[in-house]
Amino acid sequence: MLSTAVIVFRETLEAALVVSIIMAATYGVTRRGVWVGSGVAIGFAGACIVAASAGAITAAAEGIGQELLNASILIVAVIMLGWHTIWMSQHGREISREMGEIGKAVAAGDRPLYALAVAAGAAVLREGSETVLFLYGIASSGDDSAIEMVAGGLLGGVTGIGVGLLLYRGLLSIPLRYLFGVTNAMIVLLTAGLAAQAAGFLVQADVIPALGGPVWDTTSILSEKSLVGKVLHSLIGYEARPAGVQVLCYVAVLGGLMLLSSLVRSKHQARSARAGMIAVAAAASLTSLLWVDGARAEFKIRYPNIDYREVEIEHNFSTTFDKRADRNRDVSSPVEVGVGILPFWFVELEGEIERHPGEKTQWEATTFENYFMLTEPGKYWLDFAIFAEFAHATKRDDPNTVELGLLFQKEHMNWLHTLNLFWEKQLGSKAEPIDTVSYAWQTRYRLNQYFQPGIEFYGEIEDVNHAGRFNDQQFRVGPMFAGSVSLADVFGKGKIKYEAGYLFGATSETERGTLRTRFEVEFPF
Amino acid sequence: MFAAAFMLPAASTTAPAQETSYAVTIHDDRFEPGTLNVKAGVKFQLRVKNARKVAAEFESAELNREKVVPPGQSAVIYIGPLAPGTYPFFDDFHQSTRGRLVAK
Repeated sequence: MLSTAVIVFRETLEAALVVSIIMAATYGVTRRGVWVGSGVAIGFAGACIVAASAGAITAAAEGIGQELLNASILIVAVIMLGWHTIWMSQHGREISREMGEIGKAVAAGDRPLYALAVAAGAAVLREGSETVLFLYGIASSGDDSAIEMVAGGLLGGVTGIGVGLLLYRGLLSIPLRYLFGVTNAMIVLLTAGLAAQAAGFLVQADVIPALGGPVWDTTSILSEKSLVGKVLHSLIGYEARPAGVQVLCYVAVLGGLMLLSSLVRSKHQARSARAGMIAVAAAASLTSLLWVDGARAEFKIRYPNIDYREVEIEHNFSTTFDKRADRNRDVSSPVEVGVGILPFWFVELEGEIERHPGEKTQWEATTFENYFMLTEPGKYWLDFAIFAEFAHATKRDDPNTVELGLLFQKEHMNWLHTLNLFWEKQLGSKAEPIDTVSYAWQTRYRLNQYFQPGIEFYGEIEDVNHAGRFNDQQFRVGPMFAGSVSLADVFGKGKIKYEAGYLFGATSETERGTLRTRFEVEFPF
Repeated sequence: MFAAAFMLPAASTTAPAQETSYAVTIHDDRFEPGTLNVKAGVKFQLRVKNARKVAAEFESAELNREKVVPPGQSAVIYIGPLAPGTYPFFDDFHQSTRGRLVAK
């Protein structure tokens, strides 16, 4: 019974500490209880669902589904807490001043309470799923001692929450004048710690490189398993044996948040929530750079609308997951630079950096891409552009290729539908006499500038003259999201765009899973 | 590029990734093998099979790894490169079940 209590206590404690800090940070804000409470409740419900699907999750993405899920949950928490931190660095002072003067709670207006609710939910989801799985295992084992152990679980859970409450009471004893300074600092450290944990899971899944074994080993001084070690792990991200990349992520998030907070504070702009997203985007870009791992096909929708007099730098990343070793971790990581040189003509130069299973990362080809916009955006029922590309293979034995495409886009209320059709031909003596046809579709809902969820599919027929059955072709389908953040507050102009999606292979010719991301910085000139 | 997928079919089928792989099974009362010898200095894949009827969590502070393994399933964990030495691990859900990994 005691061992059960201890295990459940440790898991509950982590989530409880996060929730207490969030509750202290929102002291005096109306309806915070509803928000954070809902976050916790949804997080707990999610934890039960995750526990129930543990088998499927473990088997997903070739055995690293659990790590990807854990890392995603943690990254969501990092984004939300980061956003809130930036927001508070502008408004926090006003709030504490008003509270000091009036001496009572003030409604915080448009304070992003949902960000904290999501972060609280993420913490509960992350820690709760393991606890539920553990307890369920005991309860279902039919042991005589089952009831006793469940009682132990409850005892552990209640004790964990109790310690969280103690922290909350302790924080509230801080004079109001300083409270938000303290909670803000705690949230920044907490966020950096969560980022390091996320990096740890991605290393365990071999998605990002460790960048050096344990940077230090303080297990003998303070073990992560000890109570103090565990509390420090939860509060400030203490790791007894961190990988290099974990230290790097910790420092990057800590430094990034502090820098952005001070930038926002000094400029005192109205739309500072954007800055939070910039921090997130910067962190995402850092992560994608770490992914030097090198994909094959580039999965991205090409949009027919051109930004005249704009420079774009873009990075696309994709990696596959499959049981077959020769199809697993097929990575593509191309970098592009493009310019809108005429109102209807956009040119792009791209370096196709790829890594195929069992090979080194290579610069496979250099491509020259052109977009010709034939309709003025929104003027007609459908927007339309022509795409033309020439790819020069780096290796002598690979053929050069030419590709032509038609890009269509339809806006309907908040929905955006895009269709791409491509035809490709190989050139020169090394060419295979085949015509390759590929197609892609994306529909997304423009919820707001930052988050536009949607669905997309990508298909390709290697040789259209011998297309074969559908099952012999490649077809991927899955959820995605896109968004953008203005850089106007920081640099006076520019924009960051981001996209990410997970594609499920629908035919036996297709890898079972493909993860893709896109990150783009645009500057007008 | 969609193109690349078709230009390099040979390249993507010839050389499957050479990954060093080890396996360990969690039984009701022990790990099998209880001592797992691995090569130091190389990254490897550890397949952890859970032969119990309930969920287990492979965990090691020394390896900085933790992973839940549902009953009857296998999980993959990437570890290393490790410095030579002994690295204990245990089942976090049944803490008396312990094993160790020796990197040479």
